[in-house]
Amino acid sequence: MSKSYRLIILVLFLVLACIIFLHLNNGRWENSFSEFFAAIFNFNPEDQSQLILREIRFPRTVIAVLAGASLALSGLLLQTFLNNPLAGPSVLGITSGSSLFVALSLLSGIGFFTTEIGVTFSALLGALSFSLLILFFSYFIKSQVSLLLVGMMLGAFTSALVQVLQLTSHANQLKAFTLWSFGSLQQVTFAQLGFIFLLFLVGTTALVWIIKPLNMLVLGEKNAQVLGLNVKAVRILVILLSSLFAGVITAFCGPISFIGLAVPNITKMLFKTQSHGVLILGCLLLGALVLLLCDLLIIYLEPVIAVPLNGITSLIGAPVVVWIILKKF
Amino acid sequence: MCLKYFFSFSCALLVLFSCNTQQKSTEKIDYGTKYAKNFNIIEQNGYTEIVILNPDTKVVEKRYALVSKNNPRLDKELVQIQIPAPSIIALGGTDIGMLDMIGLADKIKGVGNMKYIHSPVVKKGYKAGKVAEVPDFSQMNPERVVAVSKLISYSGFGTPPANEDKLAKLGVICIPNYDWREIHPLGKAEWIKLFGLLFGKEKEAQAYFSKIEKEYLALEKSGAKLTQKPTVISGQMIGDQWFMPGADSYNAYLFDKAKCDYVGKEKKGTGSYAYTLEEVIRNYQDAGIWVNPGFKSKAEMLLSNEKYKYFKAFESGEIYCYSHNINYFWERSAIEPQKVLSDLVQIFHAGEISPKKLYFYKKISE
Amino acid sequence: MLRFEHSAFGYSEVFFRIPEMDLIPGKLYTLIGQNGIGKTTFFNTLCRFIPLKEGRVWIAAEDISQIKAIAQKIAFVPSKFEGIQHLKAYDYIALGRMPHTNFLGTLHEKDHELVKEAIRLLKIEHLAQKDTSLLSDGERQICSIARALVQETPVILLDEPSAFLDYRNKLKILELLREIAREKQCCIIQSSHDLDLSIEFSDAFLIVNPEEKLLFLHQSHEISRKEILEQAFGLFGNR
Repeated sequence: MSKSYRLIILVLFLVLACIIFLHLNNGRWENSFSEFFAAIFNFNPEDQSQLILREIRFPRTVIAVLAGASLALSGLLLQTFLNNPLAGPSVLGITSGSSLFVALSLLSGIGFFTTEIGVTFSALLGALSFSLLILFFSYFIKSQVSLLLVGMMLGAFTSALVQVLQLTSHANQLKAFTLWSFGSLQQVTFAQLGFIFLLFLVGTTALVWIIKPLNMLVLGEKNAQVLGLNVKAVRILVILLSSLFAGVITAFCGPISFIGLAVPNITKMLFKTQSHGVLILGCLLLGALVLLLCDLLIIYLEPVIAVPLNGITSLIGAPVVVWIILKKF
Repeated sequence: MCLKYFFSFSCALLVLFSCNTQQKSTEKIDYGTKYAKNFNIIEQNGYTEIVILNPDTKVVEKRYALVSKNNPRLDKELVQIQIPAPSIIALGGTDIGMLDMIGLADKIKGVGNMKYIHSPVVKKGYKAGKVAEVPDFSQMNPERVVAVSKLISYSGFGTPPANEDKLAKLGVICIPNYDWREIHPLGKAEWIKLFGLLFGKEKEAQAYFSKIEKEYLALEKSGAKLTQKPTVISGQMIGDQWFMPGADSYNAYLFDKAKCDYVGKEKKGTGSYAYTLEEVIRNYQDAGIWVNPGFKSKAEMLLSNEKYKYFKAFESGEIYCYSHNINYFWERSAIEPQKVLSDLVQIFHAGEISPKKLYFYKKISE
Repeated sequence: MLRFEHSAFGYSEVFFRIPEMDLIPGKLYTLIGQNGIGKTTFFNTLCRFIPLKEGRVWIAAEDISQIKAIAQKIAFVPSKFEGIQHLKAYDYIALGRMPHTNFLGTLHEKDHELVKEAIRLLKIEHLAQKDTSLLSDGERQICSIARALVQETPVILLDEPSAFLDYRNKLKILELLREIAREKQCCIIQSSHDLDLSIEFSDAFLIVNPEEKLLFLHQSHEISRKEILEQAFGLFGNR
């Protein structure tokens, strides 16, 4: 890694650390590190401020970091793999897949599927099956724009199905699903963090094996194959990983749009490289940073107006996408 | 100009009649309203006029003339309704409760969704094929509605319902019911007078209203003598926000009369206010009683949001709600405010007064 | 170096056959044939995108269908490289080293040396740090050749490398290819429709005869322009 990359990453890391601390403090500078330390490692349930730090703020901050990083990584994988800067888990209908499956499981009211594990499982399954569907279409559709259109159609199709489901479902289930679809970082509990972090760790570890293939895939599938890449195996790994990253987060936080699309592009602009070792690190840091900033904005706006997470990410993400289109197409 | 004129006109009438009606005996119809702010009854020459006001702007939204037969000389602004009406489609839950109370439930020929119906009469009618399910206005097929009934009552929402013009052309009249926007519990109940008038049962409606008014006011009076003031949280998280009633709302009014310290009392206004979970935990974690969470059991609550477990009331199980019989509550709570108040007093002051059974509320199960 | 035995190329039907042929290192071969005759299929078969229809092909003493890492034996240069934003020419060329690196794609001192050497050989030092999306078509083609070069394969295939270039760049590319063949002692096969230039630079021609569906090998000094046209296209040259 060259020196300039190291410098950018160091700066990003420091900024991220500051934002994490600010976010943990609910947008102010008040609690000290020792209080956080106590809340996490030496928890006293009788102490109310420790309770608030541990159960309300800590999960929100951690999930913001994990969700931002995961979605950005998922987007990066898809963008490189499909050779398309406008690819991303929400654009290609992968999060719609999760939505559909979560809707099915929440609205079905079947015991297992309404539990946390059940919903996570459904979201993953939805993400995976829709990824495979996109993959299937990508064999026949060579044009980049057409593939995106297919993704959007998948999204439209699913939301129609979800609407039909909603019409026939009970009010409470409906509310649960509608709220889930707004996206939120506040629904995750301290106890769930371990599970989510574990999956994140599995995903990021697997990424090590995919750096080289991604670097080669930049040249397109055929050229990568000529350079000795086993494209079939990599294709499966990419789909599995991007579904894992997007699916887990969608399960716990709802469909969060635009992070997966915008962050990889911002990362590429910032680092000006196609070396995926650098890009993965960059997406990890920038994804976390962007989502934390979005959520910080929600915290600051809270006294004035309640904005759902998806509202903020779309407000920020949509202009970035327009900018990419103006630049590349 | 026109609206302005109506506005000042109706205001003047409102003041005039609410002053005049105070002394009338309960045997006769009370023209005007005593507690309700969103509608009025005016006696005109040869017919009764009902005026419905928009709860937000207090501008006249609808004027109806209750006539025995069509009168072509009446003001075009007045929608003429021939009474007694033969039947009605009651889309609002409280409408059904009110009709039920004065023996008019058999006039209901259409409802919104049978899933949300409590009334045994309506349920029986549905089984016998005499009551139809009518979809919401936006999905409504006017042609099919006409076949059910030419009168619709619905919970008003401030704007004319979709398809109202088409329905009007077919002779279907829509009446918005704003009882849910009344602050005073008796104001809600007073809307029963409107339903009585529609079916020529105004005397029965009046008698019923006077009866519950007396019971309710007596309860208010005895409530004022209570000494304890427990801290109470209410409602639930919806998404990331916890909505609690503002100080001038219907719920706050009842909480006040039932003597308690409730979250939200510091915020003026008739609406609900959103709090973050952190605020609620910080300030009200120790509240002893929790009402209206909208759940039937603690298990259900945890499934919806695991963080509920940090509240003292959750630990002790002092959580009360009407969810176990929610259709009953929605249909009847407006028309039986004395029972709602009685329940709340029981819940807040269980140790202080002699125990009585709860009507709507129930401690939620594990 | 590259040996064909009764091999046939094609998808469901055979496009053409090579009964027996040996190609030797250090030479530049030019593949000539009319459109649709199967030149691309030929390359795709050698790169193992599609299986050989019949017969066998050997690189040195190995059957290509048995070779584990084909990318260490055959390099392929497509007719056009569009350039990729944020991908520097140096990094693009270094991707040619991937078949020889570990699972992380780590580039060692030796790999960097090879990349630098290729850059020197092709005289593109001034392009190394430029973004490939900002290079001209000719410059990008030279980078692609450099990428194939660092792949260190005994065989390099080029699919119409000069098709999109102006005269000057065509000349430069052919010159380079001949030089690489000599210097690196590898066997280079390019397909081309630029007959006149190819005659000047290639050592031999691989001509696909459409009537017989056979591929013939002719040394450059043995065949005239007219004969090539006649064999490949059924035409008589007008010189």
